[in-house]
Formats: sequence, C-alpha cells, structure tokens
Amino acid sequence: MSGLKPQSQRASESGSATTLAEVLVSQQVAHDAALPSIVLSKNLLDRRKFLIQAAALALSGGALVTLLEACTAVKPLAPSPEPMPIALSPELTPTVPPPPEAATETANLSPTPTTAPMPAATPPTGLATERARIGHLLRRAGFGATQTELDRFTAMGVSATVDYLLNYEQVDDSALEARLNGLNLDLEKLVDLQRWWLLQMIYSMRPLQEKMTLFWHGLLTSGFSKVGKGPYMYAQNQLLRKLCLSPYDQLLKAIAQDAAMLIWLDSQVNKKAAPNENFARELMELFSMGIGPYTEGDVRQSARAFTGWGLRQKVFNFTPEQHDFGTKIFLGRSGNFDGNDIIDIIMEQPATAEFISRKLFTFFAYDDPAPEVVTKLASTFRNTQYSIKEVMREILISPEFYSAKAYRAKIKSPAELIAGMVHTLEIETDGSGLPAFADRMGQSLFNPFDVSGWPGGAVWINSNTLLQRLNFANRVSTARSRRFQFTPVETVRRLGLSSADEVVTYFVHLLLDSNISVQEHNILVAFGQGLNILGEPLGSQSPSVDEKLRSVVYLILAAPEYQLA
Amino acid sequence: MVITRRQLLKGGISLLPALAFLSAPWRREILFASSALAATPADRTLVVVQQAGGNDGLNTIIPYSDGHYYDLRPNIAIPQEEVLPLNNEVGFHPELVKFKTLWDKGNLAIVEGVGYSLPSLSHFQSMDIWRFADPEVKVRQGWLGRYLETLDGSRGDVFPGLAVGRTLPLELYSPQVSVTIVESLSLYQFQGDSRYPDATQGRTEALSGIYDAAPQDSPYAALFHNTLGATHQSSAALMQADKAYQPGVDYPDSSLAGGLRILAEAITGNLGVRVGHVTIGGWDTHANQKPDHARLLRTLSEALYAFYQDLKAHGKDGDVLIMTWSEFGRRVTSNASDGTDHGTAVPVFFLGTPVKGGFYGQRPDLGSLSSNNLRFTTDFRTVYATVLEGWFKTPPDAILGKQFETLPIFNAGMPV
Repeated sequence: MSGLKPQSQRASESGSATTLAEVLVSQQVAHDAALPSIVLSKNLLDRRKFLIQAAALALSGGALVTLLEACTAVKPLAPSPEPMPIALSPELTPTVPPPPEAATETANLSPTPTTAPMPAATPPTGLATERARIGHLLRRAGFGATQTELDRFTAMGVSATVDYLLNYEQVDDSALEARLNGLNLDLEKLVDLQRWWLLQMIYSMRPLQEKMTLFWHGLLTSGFSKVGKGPYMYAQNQLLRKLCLSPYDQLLKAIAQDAAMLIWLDSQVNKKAAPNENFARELMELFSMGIGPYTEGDVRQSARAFTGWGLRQKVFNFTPEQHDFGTKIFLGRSGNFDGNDIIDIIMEQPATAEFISRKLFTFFAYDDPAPEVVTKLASTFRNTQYSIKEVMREILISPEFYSAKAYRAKIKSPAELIAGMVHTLEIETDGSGLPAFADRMGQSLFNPFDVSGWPGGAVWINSNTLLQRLNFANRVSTARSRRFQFTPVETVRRLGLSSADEVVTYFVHLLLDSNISVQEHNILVAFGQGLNILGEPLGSQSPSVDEKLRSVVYLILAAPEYQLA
Repeated sequence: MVITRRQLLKGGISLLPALAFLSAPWRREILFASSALAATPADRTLVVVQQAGGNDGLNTIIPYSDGHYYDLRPNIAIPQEEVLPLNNEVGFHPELVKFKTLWDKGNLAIVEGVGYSLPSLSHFQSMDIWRFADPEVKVRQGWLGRYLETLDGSRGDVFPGLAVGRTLPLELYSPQVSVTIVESLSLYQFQGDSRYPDATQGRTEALSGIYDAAPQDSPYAALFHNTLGATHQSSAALMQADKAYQPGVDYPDSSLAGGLRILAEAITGNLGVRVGHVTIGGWDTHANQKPDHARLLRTLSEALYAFYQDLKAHGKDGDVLIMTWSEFGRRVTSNASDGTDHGTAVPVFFLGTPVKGGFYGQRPDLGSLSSNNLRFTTDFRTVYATVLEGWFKTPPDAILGKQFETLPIFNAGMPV
C-alpha cells in the first residue's frame, strides 16, 4: 500500500461514519492508479475522469442527507414516464390472449386522467390473481415493478414474462449504459462501485440478469476488504453478470481464474512446495457440493491441482514451475488433474446438482424445500449439461414458486429493498447516498459478511437495521428535491383519485398486491382522512394534502409486508 | 444537572411520552436498566477503541535510550529531546500530553509487545484474528460477542452492546446477540417529514398500529413486531438519555470524540451498556508518517482524556474500563517514503479509575528482530483474559477456548 492521501485523512477524521474498508480503500487509490484498462469495459466508464473526480466523494454519515440533496441526479422526473421499451422478439410476444382476470385488471388500472374505478380493499388473496403472481415474480426475479410494467407483464402472463426475463440478451439496455456513462464514477472506490451496481438494479431493463448477479455475488463471492482493488471487483461483477445463466461448469471455471477470486481465496499463493487449500476447500464446500461428500484428502489433492494459478499483470497467469504435475487422487478418480479437470469431476457429483438447485430455489422461492422439489431441479441440471437457465426456468414456472408457502416468505435484502423502492416509485436519482443506506441496513455490496456471502433471512432485521429501513422509506416518500424526487400528487391527479380510500387502495395495489389486513387498510384510510378533499377544487386543498399523501406512502413502505419479497 | 436513575424510575413512563402509544407488551418492559452504585461485575462497562490500520507502537512508546531505535528508522524517529519520558528507557510521543497526565495520576496502563505467533501482515486477516480471538480464523464469532452471550437477558438492558459507527464491529458479533449500532443520534431516531415535523408523532403511532394489525401468521411476523418494539424502546431510551445528559467537559472536535460522547450519554444514562465500541481509522501510515501519526495520537489522547473526565464528572469512572487495540504494529525499519510498512507487536492501552497504572508485559528487544519485525512478548488473548477475568469476572477459557495468563492491571481496592 502506498501513503496516506488527503482524502484518506478526511475519511479517518470522520471515523465514526467511515468503515475501515473505506479508509483502506482510499489509501489504495493512489497505489493502483496505473491499473490497465482491461478490467474496465471500454465503453462504460472513463478511468481518467474517475481519478479527477476521486476526491469529491468521501461520505460522512452526518452529511448524508445533505449529500443526497446536493449530489443526486439533475434529471427531473418526467411528468408522464415513457412506457418501458420492451424489445421483444416476435416469438416472445404472447401468442394467446391474456386471461380475462388480467385483462380486466389492466383495464382498471390503466393510467387515465379522468376515471379511476379502484378495486375496493379485498381480503388477502395471496397469489390468486395473475396480477399478484406477476408482482411476486418481479420481486423475486427482479427488483419490483412500476405500474406500467405490472400492467404490461400482467397482460403478457406469467409464462411469457418468464421467457422475457430469461432471454434478457434480447432486451435493449442502452439507456442504462448512457445513464451510467454520465456519472463519472470512480471504480477504484468502493462507494462508487456500490452506486454503480445499485443503479444497475434500479434502472436495468434486464431485471433477472441483475438479480442473478446478486445471487452469484452472494455465492461465488469476493470482498473488497481483502481484494483491495475496485477494478478487480468490478471485473468480477461483470463476469458474474455475463455468465449469470450459463452452464455452471463454465461459470465455475471462469470464477476460478478471476483476479478478485484469486486474491480472495489465496489461489495466488497456492504453490507446489506449500499448497494453500483455501480455494480448493471453498470450491467444494461453498461453491458446489456443500460440506460432507468429500474428505480432507480430497481438499489437499484438489489444492495441488490448482497450484501455479495466479496473477500476473493483473490477469490470470499459469506458472508451470509452481504447478504440481504429479498424479492426484480426487473423489475416487486418479490422474494428472489440473484445476479445470477438478471442476469437471465436481460437476459430475450428484451432490453438486442438488446443492446448486437448492441454493437457487431457496434464494428465489423459499427456505427448506421438500427433497422431491430439489431432486427434480437437480435432474434438470444434470440433463441440460448444468444449465442454470433451464433450472431457473423450471423454478420460475413451478407451482411451488407461486404457492402460499412462497408468498412473502423472504425478507428483502437491503439491496432489494432500496433498488425496489426507487424502481417501483419511478424515482430519478444518480444513486449518491444509496450505498450508505445499504451499509446501515447491513449490506455493503462488494463486501460480503464473510466467505459465504450474507446469511440473510432473519439476520437482516434488528432494531438498528429496521430503523434504517423505516428511515429510508421516509427519505423516499418525502423526496422533494429536483434531484431526488417523488411526486405522489402528480400520480393522484393523473389517476383522478379523490379520497383517502382511493389513494390507499391505489398504493397498496402498486406496492403490496392489494394484500393487507382489513385493520391495516382501515388504519391507513383513517390516517389519510385529510385526503378526502382531493375531489374538491385545487384551491381548497391545504398543504397538508402533500404531507398526508407522502405519509400514507411512507406507512405502506414501512409496513412489515413491504419488508418481505 | 444529571438526572439520577431514581428520578428516572420515579418519572417512569411519563418521562417517555413517545412510548405511551405502544401496545402493552412493549410498554411493560422497563426502559432503564438497574445499575448499582458500586461497580459490581454485572454493572461494569468496557469501552473498546479500535485504532484501525496498524498503529506504530515504536513511535507511540518511544525507546529513546536505545540506539537501535535511531539507527533503524532515522527518517521518522522522534528526537530524544521531544520525547515525554516515562522512565529512563521509554517515553511518550510528544503529542500524548493528555496520556502523560493520566499516566502521572496512575490511571494508564501500557501492555507492551502484544501480538501472536506466525503474525499475519494482512489488515483483513490480522483484524479477524484479533476480533475472533483465533489465530487460525476458524471461529467466526467475536470474542466480545461471545461474552455478551453469557449475560443475563432478564435484566432487560437496552444496550448491552453499543457500537458507534455504521456497521457492526465483528468483535461484538454473535448470532445470539443484538448489538445496537448508532452512527449518530439523529440517525437513531424515527425520522419524519422535515417539512412537517409535527406530523411525525402521529405517523409513527399509525405505523405501530399497522405492525400490531399485520397478519401474525406469516413466518416473520413476530420478528417484525418485536423488533419494532425494541426499536422504539432503544431509540426513545437514547433520546431520553440525550436530553438528560449534560457533558462534564468540552469534547474536542473529532469524530472519535463525538463517538465517545455518544457512549458517555448511554453510560451516564444507565442504559445498561456492557460493551461500547468506537473506531478511529487512518493508522496505516506507509508514507510521510510523522505529521499524520502526530495528529492521530493527539486526537486519540485528547478524546479519551475528555471521555474519562466526563465519566468522572458523572461519577461513572469507577464503572468503566477503557481499552485500545490495533491489528498490528509497524515495521521497525522505516521505508524510503518516510513511513512504515505493516509490522507485528503493538502496545495496548488500558485507561480508567479501576486501572493500576504502569508497564505490563515485556518490552520487545530491538536487538533481536525477526525480518525487521518485533517479536511479540504478550499474547493478545492474555489481554482479553485480563478483561474477562479481572473486569467482567467471567471465566476466560470458556470464551477464549483455553487458559491464558492474566495481567495485574487493576487497582487492589476494586470491589469484586
């Protein structure tokens, strides 16, 4: 590491708000200024601009709210956002008319300026309607959906929507690239990397690709805290994104030679004379088979096969002098194996198919699936040459995925909560300040909790993280600055909503599938009483309409149901 | 004027209007922990200050009479005449004036040469080793998290673990224990619409109603319901402590001092803090070390001095032990950019009224280095065992996995 820079001093002075990782990061910046451009996408981000901007972004927690006000994007919210441009190829367009219930709902919810026949509050229906199933699908296989997306995908139906999500490469995402290009992010800095990825989640037209990337980041993980180099973390993230639905052997072989992973699990110090078992062990325990179906001897033999795999000039390099060319006996097979041979043998193990199928199912559907559910997915995995895409297709159209057991069975991770809220409410932002919110909620992207990613589930919720979730809901619902703006009054006018009941019904439909208890609905309506003058002439409306509208949305975003995916 | 615990309990819930709307199970819990006047082990507090990045111990406690010191790091050595002598061998860095004051009063203990065998020179790994108290990094639970697990939950303490910062310091991590993390007092409140502050209370009440009315049959229903209650409780308790708190000193203007001030509010407010944690970063002084290190040492000593004086003003100094740590010291030989690279053994400070000032452990020998690094003399787990056994009166081997010797750093008169 090189010496202290002024920005790192600032970071350390604001120590209470600065994690050690950030301090270390800022110190790393100077050291690695000469990294080659190979790790950066040519068209996405200009390194020189990053370095020029580097000093401007040391975040102090106390200044966070100010920063959000001051630094967010200048693009005001378009009064009527363009509908999502779906570049569907012909074969993906639904060939059958949408089911009647979906058509009816779509008609009811089309944004029209004059009428708004809102459905009355209904008792909990779970996943009984196509609209609810689409909402569920897009929460799990993406980061929520806007009203426009909900209408469109509901009309398409679940099956065509799953095809759309899986065939993401056919969807034009150039608007996202243009948006990110304009930000001058510094990929050396953890906080800018985090912003970059959160913006991908919020604005990508390929939601499943981003969700898969998040899944892999939690499984084939590496952390900035040890890797220390932003461009390596960026390159790994792009690798996961590129291969997110690829055959799993391809993904494992690529990650085994990924620069960040070579550092994270000590492959680069795995040498013939003194093998380091870190990668070999985690390859089986965390990435493929789970603990159990192998011996310590298998770990040692596998480590020998990966000796000599390292980094040179910031890319993967094989050093024959450090490689053990001897015979290895691994999982009952014998030969002069190298790392790729080891991965091929691992892929053939029944445990691998079961392990990956279970990981995918529990991330996307629910915990503790019945053995037969996993067995069926595992057989698809084996029968399709380890196709992640086909396993995902099977999960996303399975009855289990749409069962009562799956509905609201997962706690949203902080990244899902933040990206989902901003996306669903169509808020314009350049993402400044969002990484700090995620940090406080317990998820520092690119810095997983440990080698096995984030534990997830109930661990996401404690008195501090819940408070931070509620305060983020407050931040979003009261966003009034031109640079971070949420305008519920516009929505209400556009849809012609004229009472507290209509307002509550609309937002509960958008954010919670119209699925809350009658008592909750009544609390919201009672709280929003002041909105019953909405139908009256504008002049008679007090400023409290703005306050009440935002408060109603806050209460929905802060509700326990909204914390669930 | 400091509100005493008795006044608080007399005032009871009426002092806490923010909680009045909570449903009964939440309200029933007593907000403020009982706290005996004398520091029985169950009411003692440890405040941990982490010097993140690796503190240069040799330029902190300076062996000014040892020629090796001036030979091995000529470009960054502190001249003999600037050192604040502690005896005829070593002295403080000149910016440690406030530490010298504490030393002279006998309230500062220095454990020298703290480390472990086969030292890791990686921040990441060495920090994990210190935090998890396991040189093999097989344990994934913090040593203080394991201590917090042993506490009696029935006391209803709101903040047994309180960390100032944004994220959980892993030495406090345990899957069984919820540690409160406070970045700032304002961020630990239910924030409202800044344009309509008067509406916040009603909105927060409606939210509690929603948490009460949400379907209770979903898998996480109880978790959300109970956590919101705990959140109201801890947020209100901290705000209440903040209102009652009158700092006994002027804290310096540094974020470390700001963090210690939050801990002081919670401790003097009797919120039941058993372990407090705050971090000061920036110790990774690879280049142009002298001005940076001087500033860090001044910041550290002034902030801790103010904190200690504040505890004294509130009569809490007998209840609080303050400890510093850093993941490693630095290379004995300086580098060509007037800095030092990652090293090994490092001094640990203990401060407070319970502390018997002086030197502990053994000073590493500058004449017997290992790859230009100090050979450690005191296992860091001896330091932890000292805290667990001597301060918390809990068996250290249950937490550290085996027996370590302890250091006699406490005053003899300390109640047990």
